[in-house]
Amino acid sequence: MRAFLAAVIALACIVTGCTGKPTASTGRVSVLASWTGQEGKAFQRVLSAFTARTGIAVDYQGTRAAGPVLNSELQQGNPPDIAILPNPGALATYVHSGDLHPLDDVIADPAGSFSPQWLRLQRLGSIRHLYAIAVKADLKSIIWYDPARLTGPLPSTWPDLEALQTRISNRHEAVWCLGLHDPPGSGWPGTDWIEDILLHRSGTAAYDRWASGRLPWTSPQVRKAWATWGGTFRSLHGGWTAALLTGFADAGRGLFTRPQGCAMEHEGSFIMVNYRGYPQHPRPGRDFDFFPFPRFAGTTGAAEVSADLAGMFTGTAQAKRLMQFLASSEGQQVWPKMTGYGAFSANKNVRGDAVYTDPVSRRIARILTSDAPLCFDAADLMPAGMSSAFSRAVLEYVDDPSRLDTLLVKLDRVRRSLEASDWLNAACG
Amino acid sequence: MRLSQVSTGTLTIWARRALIAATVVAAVVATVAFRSVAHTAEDVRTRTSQAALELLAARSALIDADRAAITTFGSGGADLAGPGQDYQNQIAAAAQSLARFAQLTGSQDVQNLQVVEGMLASYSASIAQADAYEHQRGGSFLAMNELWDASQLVHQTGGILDQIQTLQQHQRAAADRQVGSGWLDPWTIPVWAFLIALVLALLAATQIMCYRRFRRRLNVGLLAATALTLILAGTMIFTAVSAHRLQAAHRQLQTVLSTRSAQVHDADTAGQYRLAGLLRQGCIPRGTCGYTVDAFIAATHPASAPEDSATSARGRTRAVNQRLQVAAETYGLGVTIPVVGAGVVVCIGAGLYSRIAEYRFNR
Repeated sequence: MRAFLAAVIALACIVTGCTGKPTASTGRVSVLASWTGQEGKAFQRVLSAFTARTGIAVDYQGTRAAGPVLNSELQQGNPPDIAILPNPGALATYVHSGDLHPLDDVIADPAGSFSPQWLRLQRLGSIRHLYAIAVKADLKSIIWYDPARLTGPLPSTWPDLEALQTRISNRHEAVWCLGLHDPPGSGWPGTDWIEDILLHRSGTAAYDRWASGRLPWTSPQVRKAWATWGGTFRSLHGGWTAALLTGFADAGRGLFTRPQGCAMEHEGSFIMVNYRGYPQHPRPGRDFDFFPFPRFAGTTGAAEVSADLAGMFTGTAQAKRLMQFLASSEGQQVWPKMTGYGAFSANKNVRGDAVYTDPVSRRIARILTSDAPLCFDAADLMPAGMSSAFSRAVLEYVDDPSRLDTLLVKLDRVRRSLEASDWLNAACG
Repeated sequence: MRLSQVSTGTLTIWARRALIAATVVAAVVATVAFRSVAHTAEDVRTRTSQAALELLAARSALIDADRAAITTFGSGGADLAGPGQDYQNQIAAAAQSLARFAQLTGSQDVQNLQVVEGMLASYSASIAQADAYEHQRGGSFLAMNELWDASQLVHQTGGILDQIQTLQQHQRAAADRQVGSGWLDPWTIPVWAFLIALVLALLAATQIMCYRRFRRRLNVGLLAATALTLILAGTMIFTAVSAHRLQAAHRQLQTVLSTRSAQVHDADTAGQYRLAGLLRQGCIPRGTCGYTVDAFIAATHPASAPEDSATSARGRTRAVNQRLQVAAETYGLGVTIPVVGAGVVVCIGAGLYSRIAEYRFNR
């Protein structure tokens, strides 16, 4: 009888999988994000750290089409526990639909980890509730250069930058590296330029109104931003056709060639990964550095940022534990600590030599977590139709700058065709 | 206790039990093995192989569509013909192949398929935009830029062709698993061969025992059981042959897919070479196209002449389908095998029943 009972218990053990692993008793959580390839592997190391800490297993789906996949899974009534999207505007639509769970009861002390600016951005337009956590942040208002070849005082104002452009052009050298090609979203490096000029010339209030659809494209502020950017076209590396055809990841190659192809590039902090991969193996601080986007007269030094935001679509205990981990200093520093991945944290407790191994990354991290006003990339906040029209207008403007007024009128038509509820009022924090 | 000391009746009862047990096990194994092989063959014929062919067809149609669009825009005829009828036909064919693949595939590929379908929509929109630029502004550089964007959506790392390749790899792995595991694993042949040999050996031993203990020259029941067991062995050999045919058809399918993939690659090379020429001519000043296009132009080259025509490849695909059809043919054996197994059991029971009754009567 005892042998029979032992056999039954052994069989039951085999069937239920009582192997001693913690996953069986602590459950699973599913995560959908847009990171694939090397980025996907890097993020899975963050998730592995979570599993090692909690025993909760994570089912990770990484796809470039995270937005459509999330939409499809929601329609089927089978959403992932947590989704991480690169555009806050898309995530915010799920606040309106009621699919996204607030995190007020999940994250105990968000103010202890994030600055008031990031907290506002992570509310996704809500006044009271926290809805998202920035898993990976990027600084966009920066201009890259080679410190060995661009010597002398760096421009801190727009007139300084114009004077520097003139000096370089007078040497018959190209000033700007620019690559707009990135299908299916070609044109976004140009939208970043226009956003930065508008933000730094007209201030956060005008930027906020424009990003939320309340400032027309034909307004003097927006038109000036376009025209100011158009002024840089005369000194593009390779000319305007090369700018249209060149991939954004390749544009910066000219910084490191001999002779130098172009002297500066306006690009987000994520471009460091691409720089490091070039044949010259450029090193941050020695071969490339940045200066903040120059200010215009009478404005403060706001910075444009972008972020991959995690939102919770189910209220399971496992999902809450993962959100807590992703918001924590422990979870936020895993990725930035990996050398060469160019990942930054918005958590103000995650910075310094222990996390960022090079001086350039440390300066970027300081700006991201400083008290300076921060504004989300406006194109990431706009409704999808507006955002894609903006990118396309950038391509058409580079092709033929004389059509600027026609393009702005067309963009305003698109703006007016959208419902007020499609816009997100959360650009600056 | 020695065998000679066991009473004849006890020995006969034990022989009957052993024979019936061994026969039941052999019949069950034969039935399960046959049905498993037949089910796998049918699944490979109707689903796995067709899914692989649909993916290849989608890949081929998409490359042909891209090449057709490049040719039309490059010829200057796009202002009248748009991206061209050939482009329209091929893009429709690609969408249809993906739709048929969706019906054939499992849930693990749904996400990849969603990505492909989303990117295909972006590709079509980009070609439509190139067409619009061609009409609005009379052959502007933007039309070519849009064509470049569209073509890169197809070809870039993580692009549509990469996504389809991922699906193809999943399909290949699934098909390899299907035809190389379970009852199609060659190591299962010794198992059922041993069981059949065991039944035949037991039948022979029982026949000898009946001769010695009951002085009967031949037991007709056992003789019939032996004949039926040989038929059972024949069905198992047929099962092994079907498994072998299926594996051979699978290998042939992979060869056909590889050959067709090489042809598709050649067609793609030709299209991309044409695009490189267009870009080289279109850049202003001429030849200054930037790092991305310079690298692209350097990587393109004229396509080599295809070694095999698409017609002969289609013929080989038909041949593979015929072989899969033959491998999946059951000839009603799914029912015959258990019936034969039951027949063996009945014959054994009948053959030994009269001997046991005779022993009891004599006692």
